[in-house]
Amino acid sequence: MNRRQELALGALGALLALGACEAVGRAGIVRRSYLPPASEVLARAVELAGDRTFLDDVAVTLRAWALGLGLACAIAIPLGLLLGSVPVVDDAVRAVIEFLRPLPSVALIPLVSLLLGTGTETEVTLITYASIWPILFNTVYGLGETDPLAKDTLRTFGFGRLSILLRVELPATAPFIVAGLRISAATALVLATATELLSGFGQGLGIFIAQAQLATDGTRDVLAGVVWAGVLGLVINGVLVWGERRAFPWRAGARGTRGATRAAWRSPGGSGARRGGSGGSGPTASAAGRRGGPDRAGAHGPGAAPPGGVTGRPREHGSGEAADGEAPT
Amino acid sequence: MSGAPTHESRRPTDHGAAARTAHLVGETAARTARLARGALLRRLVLVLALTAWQLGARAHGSVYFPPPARIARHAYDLWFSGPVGHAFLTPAAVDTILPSLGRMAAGFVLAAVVGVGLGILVGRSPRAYALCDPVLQFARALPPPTLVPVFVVVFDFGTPMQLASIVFSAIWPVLINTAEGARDTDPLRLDVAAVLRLTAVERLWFLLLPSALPRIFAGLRLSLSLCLILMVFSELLPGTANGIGFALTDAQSRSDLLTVWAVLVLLGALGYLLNTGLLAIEKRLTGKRSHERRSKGSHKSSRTESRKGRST
Repeated sequence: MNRRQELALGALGALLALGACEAVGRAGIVRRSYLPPASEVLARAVELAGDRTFLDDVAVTLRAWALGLGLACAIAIPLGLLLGSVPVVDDAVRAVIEFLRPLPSVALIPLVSLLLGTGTETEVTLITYASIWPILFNTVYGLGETDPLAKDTLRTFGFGRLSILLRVELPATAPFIVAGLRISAATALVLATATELLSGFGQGLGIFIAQAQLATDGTRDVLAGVVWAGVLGLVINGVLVWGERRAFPWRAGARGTRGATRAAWRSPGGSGARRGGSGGSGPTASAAGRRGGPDRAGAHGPGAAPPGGVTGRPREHGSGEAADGEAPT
Repeated sequence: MSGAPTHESRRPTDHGAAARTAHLVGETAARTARLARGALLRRLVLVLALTAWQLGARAHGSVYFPPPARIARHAYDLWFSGPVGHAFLTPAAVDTILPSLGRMAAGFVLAAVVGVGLGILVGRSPRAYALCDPVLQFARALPPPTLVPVFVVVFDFGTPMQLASIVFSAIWPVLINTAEGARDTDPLRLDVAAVLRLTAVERLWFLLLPSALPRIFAGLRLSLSLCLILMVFSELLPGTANGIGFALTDAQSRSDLLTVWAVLVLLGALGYLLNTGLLAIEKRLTGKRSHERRSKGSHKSSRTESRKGRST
């Protein structure tokens, strides 16, 4: 099956899904005002693209999203580098982190709203809090995966701790950090919409949905807003995946292109190579090469993440592994 | 793996066996000491942090950050000071914790069963995978909370709406991960299964499920945390009558900070316990198939090796 056939099948699948929604809406299983057909929802979503106030709502949400994510990066990356390179600090802070992490951050919404009121500060705080974990854990994990030979080489040449960190460890960890950032980006969107849905007034995509829900016959608007939220999620993910491939081409190369993956689909000989390559989606290319080589037979394990990055989906698997179990958002 | 060579090279090889043994013993002792120091340090820092919070909160007397001892006491009074016959649960706990846990468990099991089933179906055929891929990607990209208002309209408030929200958010990670796991089944083994004329059920049981299991569990872990989030979120919305999330909004509307904190501690503990439980199940189920998990083993060891390399 080549790329074009895949795309055609994918389009067909999307059309079928839309058709099913349309049929459910029109068949009158649920009341028309409760679940409008897909065509009406899509038409409304397109119409909203020209709606000034709606676009403002989206802009407000995106601003909070970007601000929260940026703050999370500013906190999590230095902290991760510190934790990953100074074992004593890691030991000391680990317990506090393990204590904070299992808490579902949505549950913090009431507390933070009591503390900061229902405004942008609350939203940004919550987004930051939730987005810190994936970036932090991926940074620490990535540091642990740095090639020790490269570090030792620099040490032999007399480079200090800091320059080894900046010259070897940071570049080697960057792919992990970006992978964590991609997970955090999705988490941040969840928190942004959740906070807005609960706060109920002001501006934002979630608030648009919450208010549409209260209006009579508002389900069409609710669903149109949901479509927009999904499109935002897809676009954000797509942009980050694209940026990841541009910034770390060696990782894309290590993974192999999708076409190569497909070619190896049925051939037993090729499967090992595919796995060896696909392991690169988790760790850096060099680590993948090392691991993929001798360990092909055991590639069913989590080290062999699928070519997820190539197809553009967040690597839950790799990330889950990297973070030792995905952080609850 | 990664740290092994440096490790090896540092070991003195020319001092004879006795010296090497002594060195190894010393190294083991040093490692144990480091581990013990780490464990001690963790506890110590946690205790110190809690003490500092306790003292600071007491001195400051802030309403917003009550001392941890009071929070613990409050949580105990609220939920765990019941009679022995009810497993120490108070009526309030029965009204709050059990409905939430029930909904969450039901949602998680439903999402897991349906997700694994559909995932195997989709993952088995490249055509089906290509057909469903865009729809799945979109469904996954949707921030789950935005869908809750839709379910509120369709199902009205209450358990059906909450269950639908939980299932609809938690199913995608399991489905997608299972599909990818099933897709990655070794073609050679599939050929062997064909030669042995295994039935579809046998193939599923002996081949597809075992090889997809690590990925399935990775999906399940994500789903579990999504379940917890959606459980809380769907209960935070107005119109709920019971549950942990309801206790949280109720306390918020009364500005009862102590209860808010107690609920947060409860949720944190729940999240920790559930995650640990799932990890234990995963270990039990996948531990047997150690040959298939070798890459994970090497993964882990490479991490510890590199850590070791760093600390020595």
